[in-house]
Amino acid sequence: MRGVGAVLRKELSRRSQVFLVGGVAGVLALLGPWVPPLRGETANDARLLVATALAVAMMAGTALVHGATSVAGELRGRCLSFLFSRPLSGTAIWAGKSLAGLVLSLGGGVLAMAPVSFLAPGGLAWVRWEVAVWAIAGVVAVGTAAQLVGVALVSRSWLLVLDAVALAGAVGATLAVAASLWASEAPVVVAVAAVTGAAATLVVLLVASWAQVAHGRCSASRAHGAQSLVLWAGVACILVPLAGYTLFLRSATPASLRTVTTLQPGPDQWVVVAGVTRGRGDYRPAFLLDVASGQFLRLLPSEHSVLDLVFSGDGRRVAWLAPAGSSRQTWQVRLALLDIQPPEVRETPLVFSAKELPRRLCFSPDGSFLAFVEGRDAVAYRLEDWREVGRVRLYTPATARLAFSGPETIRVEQWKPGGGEEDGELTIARWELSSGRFTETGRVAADPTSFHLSILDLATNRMIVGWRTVGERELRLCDATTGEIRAVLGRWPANRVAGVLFLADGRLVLEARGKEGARLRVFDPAGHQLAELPAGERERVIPCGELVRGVVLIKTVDSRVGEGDPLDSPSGFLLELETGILRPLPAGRVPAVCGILWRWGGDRPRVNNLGARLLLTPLGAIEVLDPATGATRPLLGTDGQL
Amino acid sequence: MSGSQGEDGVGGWVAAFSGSTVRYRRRLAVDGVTLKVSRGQVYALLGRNGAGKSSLVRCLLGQQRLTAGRALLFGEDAWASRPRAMARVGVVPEESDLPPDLDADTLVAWCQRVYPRWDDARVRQRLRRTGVPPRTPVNRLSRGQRTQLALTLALGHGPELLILDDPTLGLDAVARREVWDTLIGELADRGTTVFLATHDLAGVAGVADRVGILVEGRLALDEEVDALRARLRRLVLPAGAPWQALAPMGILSCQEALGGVEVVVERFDDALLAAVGGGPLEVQALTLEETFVAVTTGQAGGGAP
Repeated sequence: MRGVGAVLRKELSRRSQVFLVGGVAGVLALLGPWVPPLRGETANDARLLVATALAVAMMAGTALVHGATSVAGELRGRCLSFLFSRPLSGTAIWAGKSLAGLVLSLGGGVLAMAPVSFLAPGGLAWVRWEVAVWAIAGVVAVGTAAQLVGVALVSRSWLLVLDAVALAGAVGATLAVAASLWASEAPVVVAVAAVTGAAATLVVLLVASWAQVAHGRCSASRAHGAQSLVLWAGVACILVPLAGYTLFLRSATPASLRTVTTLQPGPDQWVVVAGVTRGRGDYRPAFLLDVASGQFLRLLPSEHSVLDLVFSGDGRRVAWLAPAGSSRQTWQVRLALLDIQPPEVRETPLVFSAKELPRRLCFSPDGSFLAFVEGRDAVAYRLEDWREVGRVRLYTPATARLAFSGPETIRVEQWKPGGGEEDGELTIARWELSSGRFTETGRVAADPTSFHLSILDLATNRMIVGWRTVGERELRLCDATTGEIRAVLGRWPANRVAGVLFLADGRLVLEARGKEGARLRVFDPAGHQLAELPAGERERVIPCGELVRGVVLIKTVDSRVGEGDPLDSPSGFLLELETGILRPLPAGRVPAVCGILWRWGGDRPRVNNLGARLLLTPLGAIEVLDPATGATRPLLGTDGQL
Repeated sequence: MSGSQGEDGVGGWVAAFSGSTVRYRRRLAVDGVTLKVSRGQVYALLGRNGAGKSSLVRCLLGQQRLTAGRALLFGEDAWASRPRAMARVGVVPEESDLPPDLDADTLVAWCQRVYPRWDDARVRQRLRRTGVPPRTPVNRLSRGQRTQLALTLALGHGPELLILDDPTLGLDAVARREVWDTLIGELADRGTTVFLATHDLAGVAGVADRVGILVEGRLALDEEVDALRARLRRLVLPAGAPWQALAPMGILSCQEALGGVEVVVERFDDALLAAVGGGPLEVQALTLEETFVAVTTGQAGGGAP
């Protein structure tokens, strides 16, 4: 330590004028309010701005100059032997010089800030440990880098060529790794990699500068050789693991999934799956997975990239929206289209720049057209040539639902506000793409606070609309074109109707919950109740899909059931509608996909669709159910937090 | 050569080179030099420019690594034990390495913190005596003052070994004289061991106990000064004398001189001279400069181990 102190003292003696300059800068900062560009600021802010700018300049400049000259300058002037001919170790010389750079830089910066800090109200707000850490890291990085560059230049060695090549390689590799990490859209992984990489780089810089002084001693070429060896070996030691981790990150497969966070089945054998994988932090890889063959395709770097995703009704195509960048005011969104067989992602020329994201994607039945809501309009594109084939202005884009009711006809449902604050009606329109004609075909009057849900069954031209009256919810079966009421399905306490399923033969099953628990009610196509199936005393009884005709897959949820109860929550069952027989799914499995808003264009889910066949095991694995045999087959081994 | 042989107090050497080789890429600067500097000895390493003197000095100071061989200081490897050895060594480099923007006072104060056995009073007295201004930055001192300051700082902690690399290079005659006087005074006072690389043959002639002469990186001569003087002689023979009879002494040169023949021999022998008959008109010992010229021009040597 005595040696370090001696070298530090010598360096400070040589450059003590830095403190004087810092003090002068501090006094000059008091003149901040008279700096023309800062005349709009308050005097206090102007002084703080000028002081901060001067302090940063002082620190950066001092670190740069000291770093570039403290070793290189003495090597060039043959003065470094003065220290090496004393009883001072190379480490002490390096540490003393490095500390001197730090003290001079930070000292100059603090002196530049000092007058304003003490005179201005709140001027000491910058005195925080985070600021100190960043300042020290910055000064060390700048100073050390300058020291390495300075010695490299002074040596005039052929190693400079190797340095340039290694630097170019390191920069290229860093950019490639950074781009790949950035594209993973995993902010925690990116942050950890960036901080770790930066800290490791700082350590490598310090070790290289130590090697330069301690092993190079008084020879510039030897110092250059030592620093280059350590620097590039160290950089390789940082980049290789980082690149390896990036490859590992991006090599995730469906089998890597530890927790499935998204499971979006198509009509047949393809499912979009995304989730958490082991050792990959918040990276959420998303895949299109063929449940029959296990073949998969990486959809996007991350689940976060999927803003909206939809299958075509025939299951041949998938489209999704993905961020393509953003500015302060607008989003840049790219529309991607994937032909599933053979799998090929087609980049489309459609990049939207909008304040609101495009949404509500829907395919035509054969996947030839795609429509969605963009800004205040509904737009439709022909996919063959990406030509816009129609655009209509909507009343309320946020409420609009688009669904192809024919090959080139779109049913548009949206809320049309009335004159009063609570007036309005749900309007139904037919939009013919071939002629561009937009015809309003029906409306359902309701006040905007009561309108709750609408569930569409295009195959039978029916829709269920829910109203909330005082304390109750009323479900009505309506004509999907005119809005005419066909039947009142019933009234239940508010917020107690959740699951609705249209069956292949036109019947419909809905979940109704009362004080005594949930019930499944079965209605004929005209809306007359056929049966009420208790399905046990559960809090929730959710119809999830029609596995074979007349057999409905249901999921029950009941937090009141005691542990060990065979119907413990959640549970999955097969319900035979004709007999009311309830058969539990094997070994506590439950339907993996439940809900009422099917994603493909408003079409009714077909019997035995993929969504009805995916089961979640008690351990969280995803399995595929064979309706014919009742057997299950593992698909994804997860500890599933679906 | 083991370290213990040269350790302090054993009565052996304090500095040594063994098979030392320095190579700068393709250029061989020092080629297998082996020499020893005994305690209390003043060893003058002579050589022409580029002969490898400074390389050897830097290696002995642990500032440069040998390509092959060993450089030992106080029995330890000079490169590995540099910080420890430097506490016992004073150094005056060929070119001043003093921080140019610091003055003598600051440097003395700094050295006082670095060396535990710093004799501040003696240092300041020596500075006053040599006329080095205490508050003038080094870069405004004359070359002679810088050398005197470096020498004073090198002696301030009472080193056991003083290593000087051409300390009088570029100095005028007066400044050179002052440097040698300081050195002689130090030797008289303390008996410090000195390893000295120099061109200043006249100056070193009065102080060196042993000389080594480097020729193109090889040690062509390494011998006690007294033995060298006794061995190398210039004889002036009368005209017509049978100078060929001196051949057993090793004739280095033979040329006609005023009134006779001047012969330089490298192994002078009184008995053999008597046998020649007629006797020489004159027998002279060679100066160090003449010896240096004779060795470096390839006319003499053989003293090297």
